[in-house]
Amino acid sequence: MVLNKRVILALIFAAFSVFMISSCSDWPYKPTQFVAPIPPPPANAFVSKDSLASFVGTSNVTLAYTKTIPGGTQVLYFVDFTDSIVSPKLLKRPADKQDWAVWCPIISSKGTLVTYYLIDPSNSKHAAAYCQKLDTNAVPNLIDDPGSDPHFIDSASNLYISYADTTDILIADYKTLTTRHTYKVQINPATGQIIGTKTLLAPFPFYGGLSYDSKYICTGYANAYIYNTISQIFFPINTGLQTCNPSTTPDSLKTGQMMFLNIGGTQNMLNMPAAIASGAGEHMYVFIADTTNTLIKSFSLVDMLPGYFGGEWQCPKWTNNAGYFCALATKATTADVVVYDCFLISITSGKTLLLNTKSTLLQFNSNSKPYVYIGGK
Amino acid sequence: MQNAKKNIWLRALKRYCHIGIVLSACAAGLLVFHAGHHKGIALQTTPWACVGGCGAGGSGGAGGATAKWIGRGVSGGLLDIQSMYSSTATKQSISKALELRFSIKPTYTTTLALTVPFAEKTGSLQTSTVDAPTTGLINNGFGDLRVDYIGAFGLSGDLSYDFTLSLPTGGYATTTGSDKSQKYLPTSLQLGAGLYNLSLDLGKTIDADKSMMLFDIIYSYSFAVNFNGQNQYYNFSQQQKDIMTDAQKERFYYYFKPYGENDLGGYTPPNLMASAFYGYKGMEDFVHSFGLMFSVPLGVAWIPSLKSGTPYDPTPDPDNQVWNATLCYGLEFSKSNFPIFIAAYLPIHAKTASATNAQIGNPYDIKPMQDWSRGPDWNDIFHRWSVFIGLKTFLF
Repeated sequence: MVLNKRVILALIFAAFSVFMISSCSDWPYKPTQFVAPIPPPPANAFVSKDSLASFVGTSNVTLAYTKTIPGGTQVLYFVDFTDSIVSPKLLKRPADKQDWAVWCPIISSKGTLVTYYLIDPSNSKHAAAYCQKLDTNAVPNLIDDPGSDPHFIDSASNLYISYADTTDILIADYKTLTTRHTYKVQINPATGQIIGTKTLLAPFPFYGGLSYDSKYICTGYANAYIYNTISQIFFPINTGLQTCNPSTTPDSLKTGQMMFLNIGGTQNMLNMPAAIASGAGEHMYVFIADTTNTLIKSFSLVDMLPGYFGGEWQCPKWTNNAGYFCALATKATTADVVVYDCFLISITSGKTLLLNTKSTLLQFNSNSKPYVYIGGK
Repeated sequence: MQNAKKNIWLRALKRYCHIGIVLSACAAGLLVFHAGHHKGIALQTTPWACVGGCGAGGSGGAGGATAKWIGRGVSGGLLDIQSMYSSTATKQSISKALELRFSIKPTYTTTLALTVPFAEKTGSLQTSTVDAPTTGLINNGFGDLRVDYIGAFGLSGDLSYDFTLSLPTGGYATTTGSDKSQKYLPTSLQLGAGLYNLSLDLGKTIDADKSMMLFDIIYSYSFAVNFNGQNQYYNFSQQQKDIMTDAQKERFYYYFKPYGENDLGGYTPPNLMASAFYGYKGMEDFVHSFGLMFSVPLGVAWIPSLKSGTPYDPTPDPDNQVWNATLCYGLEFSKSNFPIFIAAYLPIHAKTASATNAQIGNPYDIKPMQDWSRGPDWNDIFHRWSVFIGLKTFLF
C-alpha cells in the first residue's frame, strides 16, 4: 500500500511537473494577434456596363466603398467598371494602422487617386488622412495625422487635398470652435504623396469639401454651414437641426450649394414644400440647399424608391459630376435583417440606378461609405 | 501539403497528450481517495489545513482575493458551512464579495466542497489614455462556482492535496454604454472569466505544540469548453471560414480548447503560486497567522477589445503582473463551534508595463509585459489591499 501511494504521488508530481514545464513553452498555446481573413469579393455582382452607360453616359465609372469585414475592421474596396470582369478590389492599408477603420473615400478628378481617413479604434476623435493610387499594389501615403474628411481640390494644373484636423463633429456652434482648422496640402497627382507643407484654408474644421472655385466650403452634423473662405462669412443651413453627410457641389457655376441628409423633425429652410415643412422622418430626405438657406432640391426615399419603404437614406455624397449623387438605401427584410443597397441618383431627373444588382452576392453594411467617380466630366 | 497534414496530426497529438495528462492527474487524485476510503487508513486531517480555494489567479478574480483560513476551524456536522466576506480595493476599483462554502466529508480524510461566490464590483472604464474614464460603473451578481476536493495523506496526514475546478458561471461579457456604442467592462470588473480552471494544490503542515507552519504550492490551469461548438460573440462568413488557417479556426470553432482563451479573446495563462504561513496558537481561543504568498503567471495575460461589435482584437494586458507577492495576517477567535476569522492582505507586485507606458508602440508585443527588470511597484503599495471576515459553522 505504501508503494502504491508512492506511485500515485509520483504520478501527481509528474503531471504537475509536465504542466509547469509545458506552461513555460509555446505549447499548447500562446495567443497571437488575430487578423480577420478577407474573402475575395464576388465578380459580376454589379450593374451591367450598358445600363451604367445608359444612365450616366459612360461606363468609365469607379465606385469606392468601405465595408466592415465580419470579425474584422472596415476595409476599402474600389470597383472599376471598365474592367472586363467587374469585381471589387481591395486597397492596401497603412502597415501600422491595420486595425483602424477606413472612412469616406473620395476619388480624384482624373480617377487615379483615392483619399480617405482612418479612425483610431481606441479613440474615435483621432483620425489620420491618407491618399493612394487606385491600385491594389499601391502603398498609402500619409497626408496628415490628425486629419479627417479629406477632399480633392483641382486648382489650375495642381492637385490639393483639403482636410480637417479633428473628427469632433458635435459642436453646437461652429463659430466658437477656433482651436481646430481646415488645411490644404499639395499632392503629387501621379503618386498621391504630399508636396510641400500644409496651409490654412479655414480657421474652423469643415467636413464637406471645397467648391470648384475654392470660394465655399461646407460642413454639417451639429449645425450645418456653408462658409465663404474669402469673406469668412458663415451661412447657416437648416438652422437648429443636425444634418448629416455634408458635401459641396462639384458644379463649376453654382458653387454655393451643399447636399446633406436630414435628421428628423421640422426642417428650417426657405422654399420648402408643405410636406417637408411640416416635418420629415429621419433620413427620409437628401436635400440640396444654397447660401441663402433655400431648399434647391429634395430627394424623398419613399417617393423615389417605394420598395425601400420603412428604410432610410444613408451616406449620400455628391459625385464628381454635378448631375449625380450616390447613396445607400436601407430596408428591413422579413428576417429583420437590414439590407444596404447602393444607388446612383440623377439630380436632374430623379431617376435611380441600383449598382449592386446581385445583392445576394454583394451587400453593403452600416459602415459602408460609397463614392462614385464618373469619367468624362 | 504533407507538412501541413503532419502539423495537424502533431497538434492533435499534443492536444490529446495534454488532455490525457489532465485526466491522469484527476484519476490519480481519485485513486488516492479510493485508497484511503476502502482500506480504512486512519489518516488525520489536520485542523489547520483549511484551504478552500486559494484563488491562484485562474478564475479571473470573481470576488477579488480569496483568503486562506488558518485556525482550528470547526467540523463535525454532516454539512460544514463557511461564509467569507471580503473587500478588495485598488486605485481603480473596489470589489466586495461574499463566498459561501459548503463542504462534506466523504471520508475521514477527505473533504468535498462547493463554493458559491457573489460579488459587487465598482470601478471605471477608460478605453484610451486620451479619453476621460467613465467612473462609477457597478457590476454585481453571481461569480464563478468552485468545486474542490481535499484529501490528506502521509504517515500522519501532514500532507494534503486539493483539486479545485472553477466553472464559468459568472458573466464575463457585461457591457456598458449607449446602444450604439457598447463597451465591455474591463476584465477586473467582470464577475467571471468565461473559462474553466483546474488547480492542483499540494500542501505540507508542520504542527507543533503552540504553533504550526503551512506550506502550499498551487498550479492552476485554465481551459475553455464550448457546448455550441463555436464562438458566442464573433462570427464569420463561410468564405472567411474557408480561408482561415487551422490555428485561426481553433480559436472560433471548438468544443474544447486546452488553454485559457475565452470567446472574447481574453487569455488567462497558467499560474504557479507558493505560500508559507506561520500560525501561533499559544493563546486559548485565538490563532494568529502570518504568511507570504508568491504568485507567478506562466505567460502573459491577454485582454479583449473593449468595444463591443468591433473586430476580434485581443492584445497583451499592459497591466500584466509578472509576479505578485502578498503579505497576510489573520486572526481566528471564538469558541470551537463558532469560529470567526478576520484577515488583512497586502499585495506587492511587479511594476507593470502600463506603469511606465512601456507597451506604447506595438500593442501586440508581449515583451514589455514580461519584463522582470522593472522591480516592485512601490507607488502602488497600500493602494491595494483586502480585508476579510469569515464565519464557520455546521448543519446536521
